[in-house]
Amino acid sequence: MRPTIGTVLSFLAAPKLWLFVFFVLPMMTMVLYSFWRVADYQIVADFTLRNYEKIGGNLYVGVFLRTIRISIYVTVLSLLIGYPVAYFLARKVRRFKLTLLLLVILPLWTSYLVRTYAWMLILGTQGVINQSLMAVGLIEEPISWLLYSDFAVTIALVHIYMPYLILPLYAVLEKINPSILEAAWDLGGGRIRTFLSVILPLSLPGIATGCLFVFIPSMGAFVTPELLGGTRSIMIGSIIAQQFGVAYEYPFGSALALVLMGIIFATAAISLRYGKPKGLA
Amino acid sequence: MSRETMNLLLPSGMSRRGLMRLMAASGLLAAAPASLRQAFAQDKSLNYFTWSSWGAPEFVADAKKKLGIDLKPTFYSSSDEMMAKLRGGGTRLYDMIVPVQNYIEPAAKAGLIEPLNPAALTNKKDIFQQFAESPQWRVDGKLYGIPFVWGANAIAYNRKETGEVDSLDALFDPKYKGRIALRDEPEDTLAIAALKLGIKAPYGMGEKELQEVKKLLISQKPLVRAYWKNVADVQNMLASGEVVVAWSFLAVIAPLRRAGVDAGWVWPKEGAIGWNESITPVKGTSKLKLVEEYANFTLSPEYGEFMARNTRYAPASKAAIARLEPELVKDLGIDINNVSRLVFKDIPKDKSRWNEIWNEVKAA
Repeated sequence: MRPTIGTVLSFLAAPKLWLFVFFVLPMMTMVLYSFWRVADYQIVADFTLRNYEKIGGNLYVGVFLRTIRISIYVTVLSLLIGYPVAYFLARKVRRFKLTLLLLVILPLWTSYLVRTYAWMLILGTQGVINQSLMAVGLIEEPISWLLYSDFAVTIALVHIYMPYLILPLYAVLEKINPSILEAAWDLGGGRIRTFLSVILPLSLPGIATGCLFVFIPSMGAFVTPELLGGTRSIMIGSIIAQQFGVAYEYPFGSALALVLMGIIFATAAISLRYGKPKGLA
Repeated sequence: MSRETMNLLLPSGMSRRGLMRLMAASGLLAAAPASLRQAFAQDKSLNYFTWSSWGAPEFVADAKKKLGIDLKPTFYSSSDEMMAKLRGGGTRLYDMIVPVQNYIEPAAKAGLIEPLNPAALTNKKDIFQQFAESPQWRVDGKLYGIPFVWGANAIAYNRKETGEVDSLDALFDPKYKGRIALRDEPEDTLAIAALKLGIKAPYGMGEKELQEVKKLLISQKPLVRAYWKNVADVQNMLASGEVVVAWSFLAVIAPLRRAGVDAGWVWPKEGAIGWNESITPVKGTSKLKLVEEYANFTLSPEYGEFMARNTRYAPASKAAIARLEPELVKDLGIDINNVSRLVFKDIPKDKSRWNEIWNEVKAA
């Protein structure tokens, strides 16, 4: 039986309706709010640009830049550690492949919060690292910058988000046709040459996607920096959360969130544009 | 909508209360007709939106035994959560809440709470005057509560490391560099810095004073290990020895002592930040009389004594404190002779400026 026009239309309409209700509508609300203001504990719907003007000041520009900087550290570190892991899993491992992949995603089964707290036990002055270093006699006093610092925030975010980088990278690396590599060797390319001019360019889409999957949540992180950060580790996520909590400044919070989304969209557009496979595509 | 229609609409296995909770969580309730709540309870029960301490099983049992009231508690864990849920439709769910004094004005102006009839609160006579007559519980001449419990945020310290502490100077002492913790909250922390600078009315500070406070807090940053957000975090920091002196809640002291830390607690001589809480009716409750009955009960000596023994929080009733042994009173962490040291937390003159100054301190 051929589907009627009505059925087809309703099948098309359902996802659109879903998108409209759960994506477009909230988004539009946020855009509207960002031009409103709060007076006497109530949100007042009159048009103002004050929220955006405020974001342009030194304070918030500074916090945005800090957030971008930390997110870049997290992304680069995740890539440096995650790429070899993905490569090994995709191209070297024969046996236990599934088990090893499972190990990669295993941390995701534990709550984000638990993983953050775990780092306190590792990095604290009474933590594993400090206590072992002192026991061996390498240091006299515990190293205090391990915890409550940008270092702690970066390490914890790498740990939390790296699986999201490894998986897409693994998928791309695994799909590289072995005959291409054989061709490279036949033509006299050594290991390093083959990697740099064949594998690396072919894995660019995986790198781009993986890096985005780490960069985006890092930009919005607020629990980890609040728990592990020191007195200077403020990130924009905390400020946004503050506007929707203690401060009750939904309009300003919406404006901040939209600017954050703008930055993320721009980053995504650039990396997906340049993250196309090079050379052999 | 009648009870029957609602029952018909419910998925099987789901209670009406469950549905209400779900609707509140999704914000749908804001759009539901006001008559819904009435459909739920014609009986002697009160939907009690509160801190976990005041809705604990022993309190529920006590209310049932002494007043025949069924308390149906739902918990919040921060004042912001309370406000957000009331704004999101919670006014249709709950009959009463237990706000902290500085949330009364915002809640009243946002139309979330209902005033009480002062004549119904006969136990007011036993309440310390500074609580019974506090202007913070009155908005536009209407009474929104008489506090039954009070306390202060102050300094917790590790006696073994610091000896006795009696002043805010400890939080600014280079001797404890890297072993000091402050709270990540402007209305506590800016106020402490103001008290340290000798500013008597922190919540009325103008821009010039705010700038001085900011300068002081920025100069203090190298000494501070971390700003804590959650009370469990400062407890951990003190327990693990990450910090030895911290701005804190009283609630950390007992667990720290149990963990073997010689933890001290002091209201610094420059001042501590006081808080108090009362039963307050939620806007539009159909059971105002019952709420008033319960509110009056919380002011009674029996309730005060029961509360102090069960939770170690300090009753606002003189008559209740008179029933407690001196050792227990000492344990409550209150200092009745030094109530004048307390600065009761208030709405800053320019709240959003306070938030901004605090963010500037953190970003510096």
